[in-house]
Amino acid sequence: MRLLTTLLVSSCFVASAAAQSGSVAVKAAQIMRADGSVIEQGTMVIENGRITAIGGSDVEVPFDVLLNEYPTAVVFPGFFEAHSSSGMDRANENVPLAPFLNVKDSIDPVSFYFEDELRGGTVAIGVIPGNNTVIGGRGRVVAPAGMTIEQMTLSDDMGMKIAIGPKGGWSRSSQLAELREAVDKLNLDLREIGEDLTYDGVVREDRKKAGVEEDADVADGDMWDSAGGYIRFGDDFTGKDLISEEDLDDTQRGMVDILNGDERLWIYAPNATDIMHARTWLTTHSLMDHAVFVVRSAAHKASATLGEMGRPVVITGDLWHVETNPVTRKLNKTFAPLAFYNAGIDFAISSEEGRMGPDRLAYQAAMCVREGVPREAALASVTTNPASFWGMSEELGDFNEGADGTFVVFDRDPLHAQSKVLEVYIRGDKVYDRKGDTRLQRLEEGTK
Amino acid sequence: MRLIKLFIAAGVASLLATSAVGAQAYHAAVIHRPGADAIEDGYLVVDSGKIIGVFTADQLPPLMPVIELGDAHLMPGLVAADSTISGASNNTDLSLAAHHMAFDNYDPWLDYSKVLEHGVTTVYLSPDRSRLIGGRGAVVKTAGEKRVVNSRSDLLVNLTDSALNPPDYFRPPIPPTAENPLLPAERQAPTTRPGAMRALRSAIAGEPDSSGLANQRGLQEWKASAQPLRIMADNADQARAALQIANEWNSLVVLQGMASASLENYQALEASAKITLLEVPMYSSLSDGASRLDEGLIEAVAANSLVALKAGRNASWVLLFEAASIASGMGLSDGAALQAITSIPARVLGVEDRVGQLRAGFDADFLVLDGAPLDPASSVRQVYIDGERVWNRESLEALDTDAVVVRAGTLWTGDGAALSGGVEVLMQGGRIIAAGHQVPHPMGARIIEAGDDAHITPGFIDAKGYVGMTNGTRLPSNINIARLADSSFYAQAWQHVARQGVTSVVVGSSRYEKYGTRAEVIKTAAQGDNQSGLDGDAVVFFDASTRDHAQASKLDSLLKRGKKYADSFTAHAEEYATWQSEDASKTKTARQESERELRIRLALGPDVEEETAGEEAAEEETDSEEGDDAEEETEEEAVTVDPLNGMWEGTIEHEMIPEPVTINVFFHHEGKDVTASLSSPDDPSGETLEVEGGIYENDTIHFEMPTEVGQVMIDGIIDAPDSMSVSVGLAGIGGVDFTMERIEIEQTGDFKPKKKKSKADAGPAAPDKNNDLEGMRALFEQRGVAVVNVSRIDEAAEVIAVFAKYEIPMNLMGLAYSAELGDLLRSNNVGLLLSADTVSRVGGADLVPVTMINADGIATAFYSNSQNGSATIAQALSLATSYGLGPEQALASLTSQAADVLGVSDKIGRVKAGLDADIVIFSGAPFDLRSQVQTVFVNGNEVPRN
Repeated sequence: MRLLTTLLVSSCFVASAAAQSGSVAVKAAQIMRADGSVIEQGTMVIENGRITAIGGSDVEVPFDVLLNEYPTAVVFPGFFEAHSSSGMDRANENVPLAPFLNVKDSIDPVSFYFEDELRGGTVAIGVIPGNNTVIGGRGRVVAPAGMTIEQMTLSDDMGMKIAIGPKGGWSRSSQLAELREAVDKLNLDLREIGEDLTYDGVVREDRKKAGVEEDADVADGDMWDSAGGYIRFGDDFTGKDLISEEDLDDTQRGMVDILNGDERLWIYAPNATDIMHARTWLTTHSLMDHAVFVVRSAAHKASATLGEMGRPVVITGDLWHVETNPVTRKLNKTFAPLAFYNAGIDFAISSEEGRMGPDRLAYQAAMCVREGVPREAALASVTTNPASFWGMSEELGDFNEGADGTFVVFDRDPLHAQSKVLEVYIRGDKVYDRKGDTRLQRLEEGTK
Repeated sequence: MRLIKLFIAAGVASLLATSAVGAQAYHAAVIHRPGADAIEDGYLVVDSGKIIGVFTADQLPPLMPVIELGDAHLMPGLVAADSTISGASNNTDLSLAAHHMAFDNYDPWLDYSKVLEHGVTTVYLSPDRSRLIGGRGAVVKTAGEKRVVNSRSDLLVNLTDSALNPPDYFRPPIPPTAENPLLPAERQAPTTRPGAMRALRSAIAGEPDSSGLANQRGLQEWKASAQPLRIMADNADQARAALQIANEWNSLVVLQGMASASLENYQALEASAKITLLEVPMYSSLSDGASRLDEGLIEAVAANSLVALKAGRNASWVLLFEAASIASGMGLSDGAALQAITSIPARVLGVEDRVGQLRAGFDADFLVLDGAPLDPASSVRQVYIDGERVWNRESLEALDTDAVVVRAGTLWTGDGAALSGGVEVLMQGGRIIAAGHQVPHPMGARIIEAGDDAHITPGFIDAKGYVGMTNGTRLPSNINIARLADSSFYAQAWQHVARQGVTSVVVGSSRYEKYGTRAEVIKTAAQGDNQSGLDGDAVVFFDASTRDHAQASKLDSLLKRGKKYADSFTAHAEEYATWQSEDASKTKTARQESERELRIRLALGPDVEEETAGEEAAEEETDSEEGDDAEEETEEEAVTVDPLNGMWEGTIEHEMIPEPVTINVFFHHEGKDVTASLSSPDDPSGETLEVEGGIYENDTIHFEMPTEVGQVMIDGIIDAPDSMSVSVGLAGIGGVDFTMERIEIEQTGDFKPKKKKSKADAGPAAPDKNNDLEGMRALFEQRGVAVVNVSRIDEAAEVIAVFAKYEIPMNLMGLAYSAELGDLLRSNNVGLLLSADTVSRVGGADLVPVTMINADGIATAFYSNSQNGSATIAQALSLATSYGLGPEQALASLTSQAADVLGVSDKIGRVKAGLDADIVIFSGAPFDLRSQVQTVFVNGNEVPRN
């Protein structure tokens, strides 16, 4: 069965082998950049997976690069899904503190989710553990194409999920107590380890002085290593310098990475109140500069606070926030992206799985335009902003020389309701062709 | 003295001079200061969100802008020493959770209008109350920019039974190893009070527990913060334990609860807490009921410690005024009760230097109340936090309610004596909802203060007038009278009448028509179309005042005619109802028949058929009686069936006709002579062609019809029962053949071609409408009352007898009042309509002895009989009262009695719950000529003044 699925998928996507892998040139009626600006009759050359030239019809195409011409189509950088926990066999472990987890071990390359995203013109997905956690684990950016996680990965170990919003069935006070306790416990453990290491060092010195030979097997243990200096946060304590990465267990290492500021932190703060608590926690640990806020539309009430902090925001779930006035029982509807835009916040939007329409980033961006977000900001929220939040501005999100040769061929404006994805290239390789999408054809034409 | 005043003024002025934002004074009837005397006619001065002070008029610095609050009372915002805002129960499984913070559960972006409504401005956020150590509380305000007062306040310990037997605590190790194995869930203390004490002592001594060291760290943090300890205790035993713990921990303790403590045991306590947060048992539901504190307990507690109050455990925590009122009833002084919900809970929360009092330098958190704080009638009008108005009952525009509360000094309900001493009327949705000394005030209701001198009366009714009739005073009989008043709300002529308090007028043609003049009671201020009528209640005027003596017998014959007319409608209604039920049962039998046929067709053998027949019989048994009747009828028809008579249907198809045409022919034969009436459902005109002179012989019919184009021959042969082959031929040109089937069999001797039924049949046709007779029909159908104009008293008696015969409610008009008439009216229960001008005095004699009307108890109504005169009907009666007409009688005649005699007392005429919201507000007594009409409401809408 698995084999059959694999065969089917491969028949869909690995349609043709390019003349030279990773190199292709395109001429199109329009090349549309991420800000919505258009190069009419544009030409783009991709060699070895990177864009080497982009411009009008005068751009020269090297003789050994296959040229594809799309006289009526629009070539677009493709959408970047900023935050997703789909495509994994499960979004979260039961353990609330799991900094040692990595989505690498959980992503299922043949999940229909990826196939669907590709069909919708998505070229990169930030996959990260779900929100039902306290510290959830590491995420990575993958392309929705490839037979193994290694093939799919565009950038790895790129961010740690921390949830301020409560885990299912928990109160906020339990959630925050757990988070505080995790740090307190780590500090206590580190101090114990520091003392042990100091004591060991003292013993070793004593032994040396006494001329006692070291046990042969002891030298292998990391007890004697002298790397140290792994802990770079917080107050000084005895033996802090002596602690090396090997002295700690997985959970402790994950926590230290967070507190050292070595991780990009994806802070799940669904509501306004969570943002207040997140701010307190991040400020306490001087981690604000590393935070990306993952919010739901209800957080728009704290958009002023978010604006002050100047940190990026990813909006998940329904873009509309609906609230009942407690006195009048009337419904108030707010379009969250507009509120964030008005507060001057760099935001990304994500698609909402399971709802026809909102499960496409193109639809979400079009909704933003409809509700009054300027087109550039709406496009940025699904292209350049997610790329920059994941630290991939150089490679993804827009067409620049040196950037990844990743693009999507649309038959018209990508935000148009009837827009179709014709082809998708990732790093110069064709990964999707509508003509070879048998499942889509069957859906459109019916089985004969 | 003068010097002191100057000194204060200078001090205030200097304070004001330094502030960037202008100071503001709030002028109220009474300013309540907990712990100090209330100041009457005082000024609360606020600047930049802080209180400058409370002053009297002569202390107020010059040039101070003043906001007038009228008769309102001011007091500090309430401080809730406990709340459920932060969830407060089952936040964690841990029994000892000093590291849990109630503040973490707080959402500052939430709308707390429901709390502000009760006057609560400062709130304690409680940690988990169901655990031995629940965690740290917090203090916040309920609105404003800077809501968070203290995010980590006291430590909550629960020594009551509710904290016993916490759930087992399970936390799997990640990953389980030999050193750190997976263990069963851990039992947690306490299960008894000694267990609780032991757990608390070992916790403070630093022993690790289920939480690891988290609780330890929480306790250390609390110790370092010097915040108080709050211990929940229900009774004196628990209180003793609590005081002991507080002593051991060397901490300020607040006892919370104590609702079940007995006086004796409480007095036996050696020590006492500095502050007790007493839980006032309150009614919460029928099943929970309400208990009382032990007699004298509240005084005993107050003697030993400061008392703060909270509402009982099952009642809503926002009910602080109510808790204070109940505590006051149980022996706490009013002053202490007020402090117990303001300044003392502020001490419990450690914010006594910021909130809870109206003192210089405190936060400007205050309430504007209708009356004294513990007065049950007084409610919160406005709430200010940090000098900003954060809640206002009267401007909750978003509520979008049309509720109006009118407050005045006196209420005339329309019946009997007036209700005085402060009254209120609540109107909503065009109806009066409540009236009396006090009515409910729905949220967002508009409140109209008419003043203590004002009187409220029902809208006046003019029993006959011509408002809105600009073209003379005669109306065609077919007019929809109510439509005269469409959008009268905006029309000058109507407004003029309505603004004088006349909210309903009986409008109709001024001429007495032969069959009675139909009039209707209509509202003088209707906002849209079809809003002014009272659902077709008619008043029909008859004239019996001419000189000859035959008036009564003439009326009798008129009414006879009217009755016949009305009966034809009644008969039709019955017929129609029967047809409808028959139609329904016919459809039903047809369905059963087709089902039966289907079953037979599907059946494979005779056994099955029998079985289905059996089933059907069973089905029939369960059928309703109607169904059975229909079945019987068909059987009868089968016996007496005639092969031709009845309705036939056929479809003509021919290449010359674009579409097939369906025709219906009703054949009827008497011997050989046959007539036919043809019609077609496809013919839009719906006309019927009657053809006579046909011949019917041996199941064949023959018609010859001369037409413009030649002789048309129609031949039909009944070749099977209910089936006929027809051939229509036009001599020399051609013909068409088709078949017809009988769709309805005519009942013997019942030839009614016009009542034929086709597929689109709408049942028996209604009788023709005669607009002249419609008025009488309304009377016979009990949709109105009659008014008869008579000129002689003997005539009056005859007329009354005639109407009594037909059981039609009636009233008289046109007669001057006399004792004889009084007897006649009373004995026959007949009302009298009087001209508003009748009650006047000519020379030395009353035209109508008004004193008799007063005493006789006859239902009377007044009419203006004029167009604009309707507006002055109330003034006419004002004059009449100066001649001796009692104001109560005058009012009743214009309102409740008028509604009674006109048969509309279920809609108008009284200020009574459920009736239309038509009221008039007078500046003084209604029939005092010095009084002005202030405001008039018609259907709950205020009549505009322009």
